Amino acid sequence: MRKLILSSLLLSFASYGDVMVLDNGDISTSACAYGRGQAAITQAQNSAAAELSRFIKGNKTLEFGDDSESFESSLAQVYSNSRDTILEGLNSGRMQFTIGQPYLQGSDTCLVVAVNVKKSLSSSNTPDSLEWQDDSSTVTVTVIGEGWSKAGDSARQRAEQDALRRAISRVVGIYLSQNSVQSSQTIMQISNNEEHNALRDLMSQQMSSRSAGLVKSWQPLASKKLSKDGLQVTLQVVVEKSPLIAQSNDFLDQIGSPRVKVIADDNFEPILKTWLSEQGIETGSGASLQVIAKHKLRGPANSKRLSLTIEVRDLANNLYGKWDNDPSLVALPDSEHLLDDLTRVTFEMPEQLKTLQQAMSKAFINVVSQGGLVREIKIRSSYLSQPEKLHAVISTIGGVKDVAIFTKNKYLVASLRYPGDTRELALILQNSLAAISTPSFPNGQVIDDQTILFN
Amino acid sequence: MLKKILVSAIVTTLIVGCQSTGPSNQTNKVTVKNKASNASIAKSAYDFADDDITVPAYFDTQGLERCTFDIQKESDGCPLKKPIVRIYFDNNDVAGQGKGVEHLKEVNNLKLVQMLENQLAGLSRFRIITRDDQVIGQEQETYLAEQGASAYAKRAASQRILAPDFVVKIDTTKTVDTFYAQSSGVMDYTLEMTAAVIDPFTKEKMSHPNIGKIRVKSADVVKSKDELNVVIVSGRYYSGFNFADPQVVQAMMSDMASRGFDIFLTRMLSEMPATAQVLGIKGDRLSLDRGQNAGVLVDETMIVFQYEAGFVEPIGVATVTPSKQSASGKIVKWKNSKLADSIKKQAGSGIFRPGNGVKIFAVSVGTPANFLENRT
Repeated sequence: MRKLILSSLLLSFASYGDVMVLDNGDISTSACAYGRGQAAITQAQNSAAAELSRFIKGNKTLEFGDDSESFESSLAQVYSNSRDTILEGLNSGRMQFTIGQPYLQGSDTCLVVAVNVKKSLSSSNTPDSLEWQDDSSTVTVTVIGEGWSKAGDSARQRAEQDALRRAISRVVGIYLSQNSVQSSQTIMQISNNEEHNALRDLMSQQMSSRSAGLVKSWQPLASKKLSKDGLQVTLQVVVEKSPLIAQSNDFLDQIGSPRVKVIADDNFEPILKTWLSEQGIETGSGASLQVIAKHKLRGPANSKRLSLTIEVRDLANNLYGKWDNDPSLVALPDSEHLLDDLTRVTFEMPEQLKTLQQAMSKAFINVVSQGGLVREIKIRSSYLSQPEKLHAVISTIGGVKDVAIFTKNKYLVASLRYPGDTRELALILQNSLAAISTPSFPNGQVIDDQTILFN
Repeated sequence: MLKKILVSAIVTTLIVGCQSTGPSNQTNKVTVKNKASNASIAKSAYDFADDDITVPAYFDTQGLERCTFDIQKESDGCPLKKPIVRIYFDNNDVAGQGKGVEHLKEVNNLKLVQMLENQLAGLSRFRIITRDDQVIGQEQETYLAEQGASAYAKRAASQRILAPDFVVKIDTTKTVDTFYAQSSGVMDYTLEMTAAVIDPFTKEKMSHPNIGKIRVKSADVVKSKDELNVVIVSGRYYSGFNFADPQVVQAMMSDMASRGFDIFLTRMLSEMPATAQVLGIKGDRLSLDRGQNAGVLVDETMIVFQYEAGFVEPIGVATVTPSKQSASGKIVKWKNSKLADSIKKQAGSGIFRPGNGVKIFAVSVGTPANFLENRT
């Protein structure tokens, strides 16, 4: 048997502890750490690894002294050849150790850790995923699309459209994940996967209609028939980066820097306004969105808790997002400054602020995904020569969604969603409504961000 | 002669036959006593006879394999996981014909709750959420003032209030009677306690631990029974034990509750003994895999037993000293058995480590002998 216990041979290396070299090429040692559980296991593991590292650094060969039993020459050779690689692995923390089953010794947790000199180190890195390289003007992706013939389009056309949409979605995803979003608004910092996916889907959905400007070229790589006359195609798509960045930034500007009006109790208004401005959100009285804070104090006198709700609504009171704090986190005894204390603490809690930030971000994304804010167009009925065509005319305006017409007193009111500026909408309406109005049709007045009046 | 023997044999058979057809007799009739309860504590390991070395009830042979050792995220299968409880006393249930019934109703139960919380926490059988909101509120306010909102927020966000698994409810009945003699009366207070462990969501009252009923009488807590004498003139207190003074009554009830809690704790320790696995035996020295973390108390008397294929085999009795995560002990008396002899022999010539599916455990036999003296 060619097993050698080095500790018994190397008196000069007493500090190495019980390091053993086995015939199979394992250099192993055991180490203990006080305590129980993963923390103790990790500590013991680290001690053992450090012990092995010290041992290998201190011993260029596995042969010591003339009077010691010499190692199998092949093992000594392998060690000699791979020592540098092992040391490199140890230094970079990539060394693969064999970790034994932990066992208890009194209050300590112990384990055996071994490194094998025969096994070559796996230095191959995991294949890199697609990267957003700044020095290239395009990104090339390979995507699969599926389609079934419908409404005059062949299955191939629909599969290709699907693949192109997926290509844009994927590139948008890469852009979002590999660039901290190019927006000055920290509220748009993407913080989790779910939010990231929601935003990516929304952006690619918005951009897919303009895919022609984004896709530089594409070529089919493969195609496969699917059931019910469907087709699956694999395309290699080259996407232009600069228009995608420009469109993304426009989009992010729309949802990242809205102007809001804060409606809150005196205790909350200053702190909420400060926080919003830190997030790049402008506050002011003429805003189209409202951030409304409501609170309640609950609990017995010795432990009062704050329940705080913050809602994002438009002027028509449609709800876009809501955030509730976690009242269980803080409780303080009743006092004159109780509400102030609870508010200060709530706005100092990173986790709470993170959820608030996410709720706000989601609310602003909701505004865009629903087609913009709700506007009311009030037109004195007498100015319209063909009121029955009002719905059709307004529906043709680019970007307008969810049109509803109703009568209120002497006015015809059109309720609609529009993603752009209210003044811009007023100008467009002025031109569009000319065809169905009387010659005396007045100019539209923007009453507030929600209402345009033709009176 | 032979005829006599035959006759007597037939008579005996008949008698036995008659007996076997009668009702079985497995129970005894006893008188239900109304005496005050007493505490039982473990004998010192040095006082154990060979026959005493038997395995007590409720031992637990679960190892630590499933434990994460993270107190906040301990796995359900880990024996170190302790139920988180909040303690409640019921409303003042007062009975009796004695003087001062109305003052007995004024006894503050929250004080008793806090006293029990303190004592029960030390046993390490439960994790207890205090109901002392006043102190907690005061400290939180001071912490906020001294450390600032940011430090307070950081700590409050990282340390949530524990969520109780169960509530421990102590039901009490307080009784006062006054016995009249020629020149004076004698006050007699009784406190009866029962404890229930309740799942607050399923409303289930758990069967374990079964503490039973604890009865404490005022005569047990006074130095001299004369302290309970009272002189009543025209139906009103004149001298002696002042049943009309809320503070005097509160003090008496606190003393009684304190004694009741002592008994409560000793029963709890018998119902929920500490069990630990033996890692090794060297000579008569034991090494155990858990200590204070599993509720092993100082100078704990523990029975060491082998557990194999569902059978328990006592090996000896030990006195054990816990450290935070482990414990060490000394086998004071080995059981007179082949198994004990074999292990003793192996342990005599080195460290004996149980293996091959055989496990050795140590289980406490109840409240350590010096516990009441040093901890109550």
